[in-house]
Amino acid sequence: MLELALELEGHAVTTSRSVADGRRALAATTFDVILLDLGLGDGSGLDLLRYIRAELGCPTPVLILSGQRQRDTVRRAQELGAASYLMKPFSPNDVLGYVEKLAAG
Amino acid sequence: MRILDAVLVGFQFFLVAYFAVLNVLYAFFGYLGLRSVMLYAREMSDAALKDLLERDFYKPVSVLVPAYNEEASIVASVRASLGLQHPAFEVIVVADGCTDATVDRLTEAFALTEVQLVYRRTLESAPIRRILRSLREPNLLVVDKDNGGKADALNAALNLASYPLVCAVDADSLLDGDALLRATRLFAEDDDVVALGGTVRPLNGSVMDGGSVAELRAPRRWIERFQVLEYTRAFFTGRAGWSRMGALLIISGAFGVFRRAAVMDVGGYRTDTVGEDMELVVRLHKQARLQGRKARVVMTPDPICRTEVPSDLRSLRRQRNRWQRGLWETLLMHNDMLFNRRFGRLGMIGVPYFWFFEGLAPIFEVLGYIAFGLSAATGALNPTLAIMFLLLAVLYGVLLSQLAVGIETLLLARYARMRDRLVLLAAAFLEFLGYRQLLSLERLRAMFQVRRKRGTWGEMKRTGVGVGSHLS
Amino acid sequence: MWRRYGDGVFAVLALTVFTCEAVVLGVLTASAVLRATGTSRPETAAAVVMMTLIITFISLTVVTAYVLAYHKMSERREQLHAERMQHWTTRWTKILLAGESQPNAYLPDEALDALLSLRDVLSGTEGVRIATLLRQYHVGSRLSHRLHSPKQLKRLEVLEALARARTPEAIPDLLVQLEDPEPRIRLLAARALARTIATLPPGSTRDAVAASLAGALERAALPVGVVEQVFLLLEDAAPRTLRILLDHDDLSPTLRRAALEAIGRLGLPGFDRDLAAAGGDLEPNIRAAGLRALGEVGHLPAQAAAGLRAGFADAVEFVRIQASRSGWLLGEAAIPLLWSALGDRSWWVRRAAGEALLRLDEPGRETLERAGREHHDRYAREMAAQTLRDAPAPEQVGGAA
Repeated sequence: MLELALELEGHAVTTSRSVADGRRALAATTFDVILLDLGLGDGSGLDLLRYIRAELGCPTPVLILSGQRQRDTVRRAQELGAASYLMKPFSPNDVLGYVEKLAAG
Repeated sequence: MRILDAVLVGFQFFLVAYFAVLNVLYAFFGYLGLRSVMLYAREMSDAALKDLLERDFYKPVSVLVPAYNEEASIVASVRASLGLQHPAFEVIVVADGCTDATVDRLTEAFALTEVQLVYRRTLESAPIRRILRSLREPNLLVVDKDNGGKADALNAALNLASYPLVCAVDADSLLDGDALLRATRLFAEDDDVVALGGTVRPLNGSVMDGGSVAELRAPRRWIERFQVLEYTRAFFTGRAGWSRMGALLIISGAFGVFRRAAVMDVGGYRTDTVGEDMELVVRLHKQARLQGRKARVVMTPDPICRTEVPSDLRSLRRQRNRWQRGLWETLLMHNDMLFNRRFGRLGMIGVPYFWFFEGLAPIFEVLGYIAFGLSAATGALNPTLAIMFLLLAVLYGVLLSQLAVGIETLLLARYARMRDRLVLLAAAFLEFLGYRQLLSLERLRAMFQVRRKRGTWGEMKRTGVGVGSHLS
Repeated sequence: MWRRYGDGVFAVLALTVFTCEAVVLGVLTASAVLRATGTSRPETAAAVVMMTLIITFISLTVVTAYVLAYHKMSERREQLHAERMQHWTTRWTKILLAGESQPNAYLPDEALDALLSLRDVLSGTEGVRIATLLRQYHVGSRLSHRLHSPKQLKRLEVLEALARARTPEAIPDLLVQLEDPEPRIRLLAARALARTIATLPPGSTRDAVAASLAGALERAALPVGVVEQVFLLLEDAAPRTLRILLDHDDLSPTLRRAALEAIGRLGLPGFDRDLAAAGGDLEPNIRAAGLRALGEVGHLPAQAAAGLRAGFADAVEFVRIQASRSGWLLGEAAIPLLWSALGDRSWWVRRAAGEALLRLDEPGRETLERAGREHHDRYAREMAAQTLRDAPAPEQVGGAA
């Protein structure tokens, strides 16, 4: 649904549905913003974040979108270098706002 | 000669009765298993599960991994365990007197450093040489100890576990990302649950993608295909049914979750049996009954654990030999439960079933083949009748397999290719061309070795499951 | 994880097969007995075996055909379903964000499914719009209508859909379901109610419904964990519901315990009286839950202090553990209590005491250091030393141990 919302605003979107898929997509292209859901089926979203920052050394801003509200998770996400942490349920307009702000740099 | 004929014929008719009752029971469990799956599937959806996770509704769990000479796969396996999705869990790997590079590989991969840990040595175990903590992964603990066997290693790990639930796995068990969540929520919901098993499926033949299963495929070798059927029958039409009746006695050693306090109360695992997983569950049941407490042992039909099954005959035979010995050791250790009213459904139905239909089955099966062969040869039994009867046994066996496969078809993560489904159908028939008979013989052999080989394991030739490997 | 269609048919099939086989095998056994005793002719026995063979063959064919057909059909069905879901998700998104016009007729199942998925995920203006849409299409009444189905499985599915839809019009029907004799139905009804009530704006309606829920929970005999789930799912409506529940006389120990644990988990202020009372309860589970909640809420009301102190000397281990865990609330007054707790016979109490001392910053650390040197109990000395070793350095903010 977000994919569509972003496309309506004129953004080019690539969607990956698993950690493995995500890694491949990251290897193939560079992105302006990354939206990361933590509840990916085959692995931890936080682990992917660590991979992005530590192993790829990629500075792309990462916006975390997740239903998990634990303080620890939020803290760890920030430690690992997430630009922002949005909780679900979210308002699409808010997300769009964040994405545009982050993309603008 | 007359007497021999009469005995043979009489025995065969006893066998007919045995066969009839056994297969009706299997079909009954099959139906119960299906019902239990249907209710379970509607009781909590994946979305609802996620909902609870987001609200902190879970119980922390310690994953216990006993390992012996697993240098080929241990790092991949531990890495997979650490990637499990659960808010609060720890992984305790116990290197049980490894003579290979298991501990070294772990030390290198996870930056292990020795620590002095104060803990409560409630359960006895072989001496611990070192306790190592990972500098990179705060929830990983590795214990290097003297060899003592799997049960001993688990006891050592239990001593060190700091969470209320423990999840005992095999070193090569591959767990689903949300396995711990699915398993532990049943404990969080119901105080009476003391042990839980999940469905275990063979990994062989699946296409892996970075440590998890990308595509589930039927294995190439027939020996592995037969095992797929066995596991499908055992879990979906066996244990699921038992769980529904409240008389589940076996929880697989490949994946079992327990309340730590309950396990400590009964004294941990027994180290003098190869069937330590079953023995523990029986003891948990027993203890609860004796103390007049409610203790539920349940099974979740979700297939959250995959394991590599033996792909060569020798390892397979050793494994089945061990299982049969383990079964008998447990039954004999707890023979006071047999037909004992005090133990309710377990004593009156569950345990007797295991005695008569699982324990003694190999004897009847093998004798049945012999008897049929003899009587057909001596002409005491009409050969046509004998053949028809054998055919009946085969057809019925395939029918039971298909019932189980039918339940598996309901899974979202099922064998997706129609081809694989037809392969499994063929396998259901081909099983009877020697596979079943061979294993019955092996199990019969095991029964004579119960006394001699008390508590001895064998080794399985491992082909190295893990990251980026394609098993076929 | 599981498909939910076609399994009913399969179950009927399995039951039929089981019954047929039971009968047929029974006949076979009887015939075998008769044969053995010589009362019947060999031809009869052969005929019986032949009949059994044929029936088994038929059963096998039917079951196999069903399994293979199901496999094929479910593939196709799911493909179609995925396409339709995609179509409807796109359409709803456009309706919400791009102002497209909404369908004016009856909603097909996939449309409803897509809309419910979006309901789970969206809040804000779009969230409100979805709630409006659900009302416009009478989704609540449409679903609760199906609750009258005699089939338990169907009702379970509807209850799950209601939990996602969170439509207030369904509340009366849900309350009825909470009285159902089947425990699973009550469980799902409770969850659905909690999720629905959470969306109501604060006010007299919500309070009235919360009261009904509290009453129904008392009668529902749900396990502790499930009642806790219900409170967690109530979100903002939880405090009021808890208040009503705890004010009931003769509240069952199970509910009281669940309530106390929920208070702790949610960190709710305003339950001082109840937490204090818990300390003196006869049930150890309730004492423990109360003490734990005190620590999680993070505030010690004056009337609860005595209970907390008493907890340190409780006969039951897990009560002492919670007392130690929450001991830091007593501030420096806790130090002598925690000092003794370090020497408790239970390892878990000792550990909790160590961690509680860490929470007391400087005075706590000093005490631990002193305990490591001077405590008369050897195990206490070890635990104190261990705790200090495992503790994160004072400057570190939430780093790995």
